[in-house]
Amino acid sequence: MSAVIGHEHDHDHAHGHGYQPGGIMRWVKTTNHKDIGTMYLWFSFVMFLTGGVMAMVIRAELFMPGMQVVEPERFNQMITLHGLIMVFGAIMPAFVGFANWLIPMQIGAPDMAFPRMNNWSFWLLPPAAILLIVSLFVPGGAPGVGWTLYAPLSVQQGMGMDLTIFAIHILGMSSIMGSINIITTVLNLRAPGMTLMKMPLFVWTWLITAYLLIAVMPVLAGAVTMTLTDRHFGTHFFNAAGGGDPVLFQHIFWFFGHPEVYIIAIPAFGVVSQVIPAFSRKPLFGYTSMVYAVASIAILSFLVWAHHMYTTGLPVTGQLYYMYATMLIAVPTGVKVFNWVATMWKGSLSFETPMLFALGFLFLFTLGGFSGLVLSIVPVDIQLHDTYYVVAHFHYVMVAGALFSAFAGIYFWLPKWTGHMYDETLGKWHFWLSMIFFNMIFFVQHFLGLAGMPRRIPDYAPQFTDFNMISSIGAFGFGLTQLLFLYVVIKCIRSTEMAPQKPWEGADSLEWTHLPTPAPYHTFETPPTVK
Amino acid sequence: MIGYATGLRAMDDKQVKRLKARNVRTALILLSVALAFFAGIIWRRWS
Repeated sequence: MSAVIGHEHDHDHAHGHGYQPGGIMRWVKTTNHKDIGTMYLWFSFVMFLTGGVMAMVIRAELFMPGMQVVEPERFNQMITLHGLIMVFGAIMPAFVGFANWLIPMQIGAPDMAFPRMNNWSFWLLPPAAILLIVSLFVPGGAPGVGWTLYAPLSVQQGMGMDLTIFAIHILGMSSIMGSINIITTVLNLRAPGMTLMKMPLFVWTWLITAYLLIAVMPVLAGAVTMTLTDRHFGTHFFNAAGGGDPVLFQHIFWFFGHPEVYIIAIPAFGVVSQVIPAFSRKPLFGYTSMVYAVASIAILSFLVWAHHMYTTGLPVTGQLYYMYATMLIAVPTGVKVFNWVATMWKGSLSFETPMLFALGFLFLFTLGGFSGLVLSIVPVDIQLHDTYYVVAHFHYVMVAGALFSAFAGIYFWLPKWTGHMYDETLGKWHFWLSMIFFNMIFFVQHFLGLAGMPRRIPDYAPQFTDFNMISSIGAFGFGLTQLLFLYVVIKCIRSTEMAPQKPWEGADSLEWTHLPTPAPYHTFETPPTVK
Repeated sequence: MIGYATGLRAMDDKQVKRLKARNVRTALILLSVALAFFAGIIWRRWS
């Protein structure tokens, strides 16, 4: 990694830069990237718990056959909101939080390029989250259509659907503003000498993710706008009776939805690419190939959307194209997995909590990738479409992939953020309990899917009971384990024991090599020179 | 503004102005791409 010369600690000033409001107004008005990053991370955790409670309701209902906890309509609403809240409220903002905290520090910039817009990007999120949650309490309740919001069902829903559409518009605006900010920051505010190919991989992954967001969030906004006009303004985009086409919605949604998977996964790759070299005490193997692999994955993600739609009556040639194109993504993904393994090869490994979560990510995300390959095969997918196999697959990608990587990143950078070390023993407990309970929930769901249990149904045939009970017990355990995580973080923040400037021997990006711990409120007021 | 203005202390006024103009140009290009995607997808299906 790049060496840095000059300006040792001349940026350590947390005072004297004019008026700074205190109390709640500090957070409302702040334009500081660290404050905003912190708010994103806490917001995403609150949303994670909210979506988690909905998951508990879902798993309580599915604990045994028959109806237990909620009415079928409410169950469908839980399914919808759980998906929307976890994707748009929990995982995406978590990685935007990382981006806010780390990108300026890792490229030697004083802040994001548009700090006021950064504040606005964050503060759009709470109203959108409130709209989503309030939709549960309006007549007809929240939409019961699943997070994919498929027409024509979404056109027929109650006013909860309108609130959801409005929430998605707001979330989309927030994401686009955030992306513009990230791209502008990375392109224009890098320190002298910090060429693109010297940037830490986390910055690269976010640069590429931001481009993805700018390309696909407007497409989702377009899809839900058309749904809105179909609902209220007499258009027939998705209404077959009026000359429209419901399958059109699926094409537009998945043109957004498949890149969205990578919008979540690619920053996770970035975090893991920082953590594994640090605990292997070796530079990342194949840096250049990693950058090109991420870019290839991003480009390919635009070309495979209809693999979610094999059962809609695609022509065989179309099915073949989407099958092979989807399989092609395994190549750059494989490059990344092999590079992470090669980074560890003959490294001086140690297994602190961030490394454990990164390794958990590596094993389980790869498993999720494999089940994705299985689903890319048309005849197999036609059998498994809308079964629990699909639910298992994408949770291996979203939870074991993105969430475990976020945990790895939080444990890795907590000392830099708070100035204190977290409790290593409790961190390891958090990892192992998460690992065990996660697999309890989702590994068995592969078998349920293979046996034909459909998703998004509140009841099931009695032969599925045993695996569902295991899955539900795992879910309750996983939920409780995340309260342990909250305790570890709060304990770390309140700790009086100061962390060393560089607690991780192998960490080599600017925030570790050139900034004190905790990172001061203002950093790199004078840009460092990167050699 | 906290953060940004202080972060540009190393630059003179002219440099700051030039950087801000460059940032705005970059943002406008990106915003126009996003708006084109939004309008394009609806217009394509409208016509």
